[in-house]
Amino acid sequence: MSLSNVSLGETIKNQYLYKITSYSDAVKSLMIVQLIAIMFTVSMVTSIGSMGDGLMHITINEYTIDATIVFMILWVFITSILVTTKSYQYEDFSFVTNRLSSQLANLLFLLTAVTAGVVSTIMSSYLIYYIVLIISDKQLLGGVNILASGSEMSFTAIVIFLYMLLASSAGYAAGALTQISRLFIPLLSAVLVMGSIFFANSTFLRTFYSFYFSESSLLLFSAKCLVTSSILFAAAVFIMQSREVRS
Amino acid sequence: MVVIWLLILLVLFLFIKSRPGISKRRISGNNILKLFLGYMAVLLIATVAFYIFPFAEVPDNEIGEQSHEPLSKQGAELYNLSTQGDFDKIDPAFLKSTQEISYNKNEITIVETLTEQSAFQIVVEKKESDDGMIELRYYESPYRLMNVNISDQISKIKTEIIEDNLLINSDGRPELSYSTISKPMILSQFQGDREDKMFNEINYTEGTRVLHVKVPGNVEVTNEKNEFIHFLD
Repeated sequence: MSLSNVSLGETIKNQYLYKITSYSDAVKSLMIVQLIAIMFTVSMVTSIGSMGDGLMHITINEYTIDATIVFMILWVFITSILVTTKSYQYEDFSFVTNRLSSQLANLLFLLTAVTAGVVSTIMSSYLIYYIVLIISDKQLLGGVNILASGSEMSFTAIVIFLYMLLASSAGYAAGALTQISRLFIPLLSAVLVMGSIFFANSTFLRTFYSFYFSESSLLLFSAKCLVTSSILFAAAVFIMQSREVRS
Repeated sequence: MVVIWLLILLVLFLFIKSRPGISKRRISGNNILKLFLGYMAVLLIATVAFYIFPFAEVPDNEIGEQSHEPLSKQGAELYNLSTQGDFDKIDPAFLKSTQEISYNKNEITIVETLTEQSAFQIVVEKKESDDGMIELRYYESPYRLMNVNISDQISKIKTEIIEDNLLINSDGRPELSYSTISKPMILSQFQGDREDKMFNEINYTEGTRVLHVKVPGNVEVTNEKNEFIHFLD
């Protein structure tokens, strides 16, 4: 019996700080995945315009941080799945803990991971800018782009954050399901693969796609993402809570 | 495309999952954190450097805040003023070169192909005096690409007189290539479709070129029926 009375908040804080320092693989993979994405970005040049007259001809090539964003979304999705795996869960037993504090610490960790992903993605666009400046023999135009203004950059950061949060909650929920039964691994994979290939044109997928990706109001999009993420996280916490204790 | 992304997802999953054992991770945890802080420091330096040393062509301050339309208006105004003969009302900044060529014949033919291929206007005016000099004044409104003035990089007008022909040509047709870092695709859902986005980002304003040809009063220009050459009364 322990003589010290540790509050839930204190436990969550200790577990969160522990996860931040000990889940170094997530940090390592963030760096590596992002560097791969940056290489992807600078090697993928798209011609977006061609114009001119009898006196000259202009070609414009564009670089975007699209690849970095997609890779970061995939990274946070996978990291969220891995956080639910047994090897990570067992590390929580180093502390006086219960499942609720462990889940809440996980959510805080994932929120931190998402934030780190967003900040590094936005900042990587400046690194991409300098790499392009060095490797490209073409004149780089400032113009209207993500780097142009603070408000534009903040807007981009918010949208990336919401997408990453959505991916994180989906990954955490998927990870929680696979902890109930291993059967969910092939089942979810099959749904993901088959659904994407065979039902790409189905009404359900179109409606699902439109619900998130066609929403033009940032406020409504934020609400949809936050509500969906909350439901998925809550479902995952509920699933993980109901699991048996470690034997 | 979906299959490719799913494959990338699978590869990333296997890569991230192939982590070392827990004990090893604890040992290397601090080093990884230092490495991450180092990586973030590099990103931070790049971010700060961007605002201190803007190497790329940046928009002109004077027009940076203006929209596409006023720039097009400059070209239209140059065209209107020149075809009305109000050259003294044209912004002196648009006058790029002047040339005087002595000419003692009574007829001259303007030979050119540029008016059919570009926003190029030739305006011919007869002088009252017979001073034996052909005066050429070349005006040009700015060519701007994403609010950057690229006028210096486009070809220049060449003029010369061979026998009784005034030859007007350009010194080549340069192929100009530029790069830009565009907004990410995920923003397009908040800013209309892709086509609109591209239009907003390219923001190209074609300049207007005018060559004002003043010939002596006794010289007849033989190609008066050329629709691309404007004759002032």
